Amino acid sequence: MNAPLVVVFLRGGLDGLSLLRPPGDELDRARGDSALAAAVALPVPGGWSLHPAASRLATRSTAGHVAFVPASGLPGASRSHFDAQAAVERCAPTTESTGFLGRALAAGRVGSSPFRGVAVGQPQTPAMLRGSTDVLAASSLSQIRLRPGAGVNQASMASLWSGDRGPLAASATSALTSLGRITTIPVPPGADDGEQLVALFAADVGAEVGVINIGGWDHHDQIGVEDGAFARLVEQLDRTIETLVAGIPGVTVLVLSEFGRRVAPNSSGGFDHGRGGLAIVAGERIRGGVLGDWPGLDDRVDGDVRTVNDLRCVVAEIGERVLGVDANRVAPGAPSGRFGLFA
Amino acid sequence: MRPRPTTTVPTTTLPAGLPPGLAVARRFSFAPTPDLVSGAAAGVDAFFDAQLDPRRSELPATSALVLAIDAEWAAVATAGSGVEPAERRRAAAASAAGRSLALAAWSNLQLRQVVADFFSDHLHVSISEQPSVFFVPNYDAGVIRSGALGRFADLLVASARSAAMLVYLDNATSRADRGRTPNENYARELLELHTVGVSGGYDEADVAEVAHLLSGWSLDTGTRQFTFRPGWHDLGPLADGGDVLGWRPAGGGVADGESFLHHLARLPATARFLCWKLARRFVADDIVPEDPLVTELAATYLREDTAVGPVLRLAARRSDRWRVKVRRPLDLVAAALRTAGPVPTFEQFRGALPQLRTSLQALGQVPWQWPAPNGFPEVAAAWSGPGAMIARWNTASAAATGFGALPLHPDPSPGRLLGHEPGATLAAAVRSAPSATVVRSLTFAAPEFQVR
Repeated sequence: MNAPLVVVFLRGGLDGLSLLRPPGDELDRARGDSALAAAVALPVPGGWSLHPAASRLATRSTAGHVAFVPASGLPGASRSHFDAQAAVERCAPTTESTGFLGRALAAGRVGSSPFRGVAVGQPQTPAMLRGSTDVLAASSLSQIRLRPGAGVNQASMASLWSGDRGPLAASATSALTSLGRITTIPVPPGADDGEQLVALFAADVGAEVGVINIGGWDHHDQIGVEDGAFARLVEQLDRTIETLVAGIPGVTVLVLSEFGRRVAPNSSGGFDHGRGGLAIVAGERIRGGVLGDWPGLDDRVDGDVRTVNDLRCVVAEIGERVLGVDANRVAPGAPSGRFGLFA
Repeated sequence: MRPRPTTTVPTTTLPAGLPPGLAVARRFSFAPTPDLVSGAAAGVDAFFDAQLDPRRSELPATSALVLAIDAEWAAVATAGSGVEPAERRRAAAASAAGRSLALAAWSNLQLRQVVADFFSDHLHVSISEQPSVFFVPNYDAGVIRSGALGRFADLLVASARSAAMLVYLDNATSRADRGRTPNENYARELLELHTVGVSGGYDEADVAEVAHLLSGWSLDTGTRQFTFRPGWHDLGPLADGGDVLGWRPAGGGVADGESFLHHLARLPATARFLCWKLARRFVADDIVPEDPLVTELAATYLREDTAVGPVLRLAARRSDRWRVKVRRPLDLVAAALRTAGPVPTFEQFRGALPQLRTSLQALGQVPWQWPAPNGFPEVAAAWSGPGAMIARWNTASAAATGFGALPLHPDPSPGRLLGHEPGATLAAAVRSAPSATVVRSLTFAAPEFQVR
């Protein structure tokens, strides 16, 4: 395994066009008053411009360490949140039940540690980590402790669960291992998800992959591009990426969402589910710029940005270059082309 | 319908030798207290007849507790601008979660509560968003719990007309007049999550047609009750004589929408999708939509005009198909509350809320807090893993002390908490336990308490 990787999944469907504005005035022609205005957006290389709340990302982008892949997605993508999230997290045919990170961890396994793949923010393991036994999910790393209480401690739990063969047996074994090692991770009180991953990677527990979810991107109603709900989320995303890139030496940060949104607004001042979305990759090793092809906004499919950049190629390249794993394991069926994300 | 990926957690057969009454009571309640077990000992029908009897009443202490929870929110809701917005949000969320938890733990109508828990996911509205959070306490009481054991068609219409759903999935602001594009959010989830399912045979054009059909289903700005706005309504493509999922407009206006919802509820695809989800909840995690048992359940659902009770009764009779279900977090906490002590007073309940909230947050299931319209995940894979396990153990410690504030029965024996005798490992651990608190915490933390 090589450099660390953090995946930030934006649940709900990021409106890429409100985060990264294409060159020229095609966005204004398509969206009118709902468009992210050129006057407030921050220039990034190639004539594109970024949402003003993403100022730290814009700075890193100017320095050449952020790649944007617009009009990206999977072939045959669904407009269902749940099918589309499952497809992106699987990054493989529907017959596969594992996730792309889980397969990568399984393929690159040299030693075992429940901290090889860690998701913080909620205790449910994200689907992208399925397929590896070396993963842990927690609402917060500070929860990976037994609170002082009568009778429940590592020794009593080890004894109580030692002979169990039920559906939680493996979880219990892994929990006991985690408890033995968590004390070496100094998690600052009140740390947000990004700061927790910084603490995780700073500790010597064998962390390789981190996952964070940021929810709330399903903007069907009053999106508030510049001063409302959307702008607040962009600020949170910007802060999270900055925390990760500044705090974890050599990290690659991959930002994904399940789909993009419709080009034209609906009657509620929002945008319904679309296709062609935006992926972002940030890190010192990244070749900056807007990569891949751009089909423009006049050539729409079903009202959506045409998906011309295959997300599997993004995932495959990260698998190869960051995780050191064969593309066929991480993104089976991905076309052989690469975007050249790395400098 | 295509098969879904099955859980990676191995399913296990039920422990041998459980009395049949216990097995039914355990599967169709939050915890098999002796009254439920003795009721079920006479058979599945006796249990269901008793639970479905309209004369069955709530325990007075439980009614008083829930009334007090509701009253606390009502006071905030009617106080108007005198209450800070953040405090209003907190109060609404606490009320929705609190009444769900209290009823799961201490209701005498246990079948109603487990089915309401199912529909709180199937027709989910999240308290993590506003303004929908303000309408969830009423939605919980007036739509989900009251409608859980009736006809699904009626429940579907009630949810479609509810302020909570209209606001959460944005139909309240959807208009199609003068060529406007209606908001598709509710229309899509109505098909994908609430009725026919994502593989139920609809396409993107159908989503757009349903969005048009329901345009103008909105809220009165004063009363915040359902209102139909004819001026916002336009049938769109359907006005030209087409059909959507085999249904054609007839009367026009709001009647069209209601007629379509009734049609949807009675489609074979809806029957299979809903009965598959019910089977995953009450039969086994790894059941697939094509399973012959799902076919049987769906036939019952259609024959009984979408009534949920007969479907569950059939699932209860098919214990040959049951596999161990891992208790989801609400299930786990409610079981510990239900078995550890009597119904608390409102003051005692309020005193326990900080620790209850900490446990449910760490476990990942504060009632109504799931942040997406598909509801909390059902299968064990979602509730497993080292982080989840540690949260279960910490919850056991907290529950053993009544979450710091709740009254506890003097008898902490594992048999009482589990509803059956403990396995050899737990029995040995309990024998050397120095206190009642330790007996409770070991029992709540044990493998056999994590399943139902």
